[in-house]
Amino acid sequence: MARVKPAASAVRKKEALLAYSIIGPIYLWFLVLIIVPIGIGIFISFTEWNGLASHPTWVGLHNYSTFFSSPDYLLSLWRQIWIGGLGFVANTVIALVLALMLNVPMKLRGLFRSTFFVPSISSVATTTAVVIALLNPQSGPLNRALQSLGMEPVVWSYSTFWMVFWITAYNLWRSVGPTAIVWLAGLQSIDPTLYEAARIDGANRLQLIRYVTLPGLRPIASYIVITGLIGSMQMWDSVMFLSRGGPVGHTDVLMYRIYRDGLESFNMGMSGASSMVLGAVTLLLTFVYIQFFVRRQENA
Amino acid sequence: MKMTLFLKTLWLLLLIAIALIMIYPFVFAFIAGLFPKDDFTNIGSMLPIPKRVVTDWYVGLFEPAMLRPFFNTFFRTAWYTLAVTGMAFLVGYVLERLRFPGRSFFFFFIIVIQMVPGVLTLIPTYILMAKIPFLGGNDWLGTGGHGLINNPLVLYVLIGPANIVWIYLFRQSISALPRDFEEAASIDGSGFYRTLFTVILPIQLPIIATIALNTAIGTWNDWLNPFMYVNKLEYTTLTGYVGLLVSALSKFGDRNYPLIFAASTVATLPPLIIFLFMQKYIVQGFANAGIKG
Repeated sequence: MARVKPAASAVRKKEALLAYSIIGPIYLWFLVLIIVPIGIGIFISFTEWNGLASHPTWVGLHNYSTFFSSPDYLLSLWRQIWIGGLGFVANTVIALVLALMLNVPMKLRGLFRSTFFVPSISSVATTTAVVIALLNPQSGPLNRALQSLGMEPVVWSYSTFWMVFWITAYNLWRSVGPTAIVWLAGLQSIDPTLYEAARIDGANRLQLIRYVTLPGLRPIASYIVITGLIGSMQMWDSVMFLSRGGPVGHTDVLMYRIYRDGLESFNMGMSGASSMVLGAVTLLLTFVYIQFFVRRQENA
Repeated sequence: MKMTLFLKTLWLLLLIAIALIMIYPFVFAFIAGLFPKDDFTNIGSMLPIPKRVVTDWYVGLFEPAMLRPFFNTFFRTAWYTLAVTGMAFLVGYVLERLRFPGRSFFFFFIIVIQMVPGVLTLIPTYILMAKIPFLGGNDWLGTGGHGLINNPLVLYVLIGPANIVWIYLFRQSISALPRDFEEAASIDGSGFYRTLFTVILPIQLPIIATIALNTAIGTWNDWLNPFMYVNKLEYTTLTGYVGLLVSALSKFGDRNYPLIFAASTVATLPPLIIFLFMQKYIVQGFANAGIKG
């Protein structure tokens, strides 16, 4: 440090001061509105706290043991994993197919790309209403259409299969376009000369996909899978609007349960503990994916 | 790879069918908003044509009582667009270009925070807003009042992990920019802020547009926060109002579908218009996030 001239260290100090004065207030905002809530979440998960007007009582790990010993919560977690996971897999795969379909040069490609993107710029609140109206059991357009085809009308909301189907279909409708566009960006980032070279080596169409397209998509795949996994473990708004967790709780995903525990039945302790478990499961799935798929591919 | 004409037609028809599914709900909602309430209960058609057309539901949305939700949506969107974009611009730039102690810690913080699942902050943020000291009748321990619940201010202070992603994205964009621009400006005697706003800002406009437009659409469409934090029509937003109406649908009672669809259609129009004119930035930004992230 002896070699640094006084002037240089003054400049450095000024630069640091400038940096702190800019990011300081913004990081304070993050601290209060993100870090503090995470801290509160951890704290309340160890307390029994019914209603904001009362005081929380420390109960240690009691909420966690309730979570892992009650079939109710474990089933909610399982529903979050399988209903969320189903939507995630459907979205990822169908988006890739769509992207491959769009990756053919044609005149209307730009128009299709925009149209597929449009559902995602609408609010969940506004578009679920259409599905609810279509599924109306008595006069619903879908049931009328079924009847006119000579089929029996379905009471959609009594059937777990159909409620899961419509929740998945709705989420697919909303997010398949943007995911397809990310896949498409990945497809178009693959160097075209690689295809040329493979073709000269005598590769057929399937081999081109297997040995050029899929390896070229790896970086983008990890982005889609990680954001998709996190999103599917948080999926609940469409459940709340479309099925309210029904029939008889068969689509009651953990995230919706957390919302109700926190804001409807004011069981803050359980909502905190369930959040921690769901957060841990989300991070675990992400970690497993990175560890076993991304790393392995990098080594291969 | 040449495709036969038959295959090509099939391909095109399939894409057209998917495109129709994508826009169908919007068309349905627009038409359904034109029905008289009693006629709608028995529509029974996938593409209903109203026998009597009423514009009351649409017109009713522009009555004085609804002006507040409109303005709230507008101001909230404007505020978050400015705040989140400005935040990404400033923090992203500072983290990439300035040298200061703790720089790598602050960057690490951004990377970790953007991965935090939203579930961890949903209910605790509500508790924090209810128990925040000194505000809304609360004492220093956060008891005695309602805090910021049902206070219109609450819809302007919330910030979540999802907003942090943009800082990362902007930093990536700056790190790809050669330092020559700043060095030339500095030789010409331009100060830090002047360089930032007259040199960096113009070159980075595309990414800034991406951040601003996505934030604007996201904030406009946010029904959950108004739904959770305020329960008065004059404090909520248009989307929050629609969320309230739709969540009441699956409960028993009176269902006014045409009103919901008129409100939905009107609430969807601003994001749709922004998308139609600025889609290049929105779609491109989405694609870039995947490649750079």
